[in-house]
Amino acid sequence: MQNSELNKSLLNKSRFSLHCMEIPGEITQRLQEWNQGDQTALDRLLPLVENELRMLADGLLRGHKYPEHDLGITAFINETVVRLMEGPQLEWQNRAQFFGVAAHIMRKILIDHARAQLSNKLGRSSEDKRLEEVKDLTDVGAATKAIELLALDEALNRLAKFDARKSAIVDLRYFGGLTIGEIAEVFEMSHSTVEREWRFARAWLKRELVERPGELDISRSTEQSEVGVSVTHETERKLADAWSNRELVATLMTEQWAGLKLLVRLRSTSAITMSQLVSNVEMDAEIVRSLLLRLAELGMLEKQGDIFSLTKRGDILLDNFERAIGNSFE
Amino acid sequence: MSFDERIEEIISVSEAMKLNVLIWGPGKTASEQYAKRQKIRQKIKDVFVNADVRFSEDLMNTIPGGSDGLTLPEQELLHLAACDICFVLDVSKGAGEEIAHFVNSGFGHKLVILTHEKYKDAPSFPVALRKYGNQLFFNDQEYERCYLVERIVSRVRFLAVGKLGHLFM
Repeated sequence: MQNSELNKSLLNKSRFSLHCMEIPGEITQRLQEWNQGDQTALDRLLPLVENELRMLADGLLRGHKYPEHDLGITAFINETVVRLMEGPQLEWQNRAQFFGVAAHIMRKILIDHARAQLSNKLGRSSEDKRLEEVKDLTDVGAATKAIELLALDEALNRLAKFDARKSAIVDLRYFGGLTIGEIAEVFEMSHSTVEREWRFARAWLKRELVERPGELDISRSTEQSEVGVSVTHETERKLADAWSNRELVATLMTEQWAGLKLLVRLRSTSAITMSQLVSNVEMDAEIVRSLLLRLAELGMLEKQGDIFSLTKRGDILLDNFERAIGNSFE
Repeated sequence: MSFDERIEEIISVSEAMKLNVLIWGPGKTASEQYAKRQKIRQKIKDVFVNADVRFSEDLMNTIPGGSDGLTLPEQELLHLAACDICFVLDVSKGAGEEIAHFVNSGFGHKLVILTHEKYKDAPSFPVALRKYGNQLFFNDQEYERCYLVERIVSRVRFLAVGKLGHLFM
């Protein structure tokens, strides 16, 4: 179906389907029919999901506080559906997966939009742009907000790497504005489980964005630096090194120094799987998983398949601590 | 000894470390902000007992070999070069521009700029500072309560522990 035809189709449907009620399991059934190649299943699916998509879209457009979007809600939903159709063929399983994917796509649309606006504001030939050329503070404000959105997107992508469901919960809760109860319904989980996962995801994101701020893609760093005063490559390198070192210390100190404890344990075992380590250190499995991946990103650990081992850098760091306190950890 | 006891040792040694900390910001004429600087200084000294925590104005004309002929920014640059970390209380519009030129001085990574969130969109500082956590924002509530001071102490702790591991030389 062409985009324009799809838009018309959605607009027409929206007039008639506002009060369309879903029979339990119907969305899942339509998704499975769509899986099997029945394109008419999509026509039957859209009215069933439209209200929820609209609610998600509304929450997203109002909630993300990015002031300059010019996306109308219907166009936004249509774009979401187009991307759903044109994206990689997924093995649809249930409504939770569908709304999770939809919220994710909506976030991506906004991110693309923010990126495009940032690029327009800075201009393609803005390498020498200086403070005095930024005449309107709102330009900088909007660009800054776009950068915040991009930073959040990247933090969520990192979260998704080790826990896709928590990332999807943030998509629905923060971007989509769904309540805990609504998310529990979408994921067919208990209220308390969603609440616990939301709390964890929020704490994780807070740490990423506030206490360990913006790990934006370094390839875009020059573009960001062009907002306001710029920095030299040497300054940026020193800032990045200092940030990376602070990040490492913060990781070591997380959860009563659990990060350091894991390094010490890894040194004594030379190589170990995550599950062995979890039973070995008596820590929450999610915390161990998160810390191990972080320590690997920071060059302290090496991950080969399921096996983790200490790197030379990690070994030297432990030696340095031991020398400083005049005692061995073991 | 247990792992927890080793951690206690790391904490003790890091809190006894000799650190040079600068706190830049409004002077005595801005009594409330000056009081905040004093509170920050006191809190750092309470935790890090051997830290030398100075205000920029305390160090004027104290450059070894003489400060004659050195402008105020030149003296401040030398202070920045000598310190381990420099907190800047950026609480008024335009104040940032006075120190923004230190960012590319070779010591910009030592600056931690604490900016009121109402100036969040002002372009005084490069986004790179924010990106790497060298510009932090606070609101009125955080300023009035201990939260801001705690963040500063936490930042000094990261530095001290990192120095133990030879991460910050």
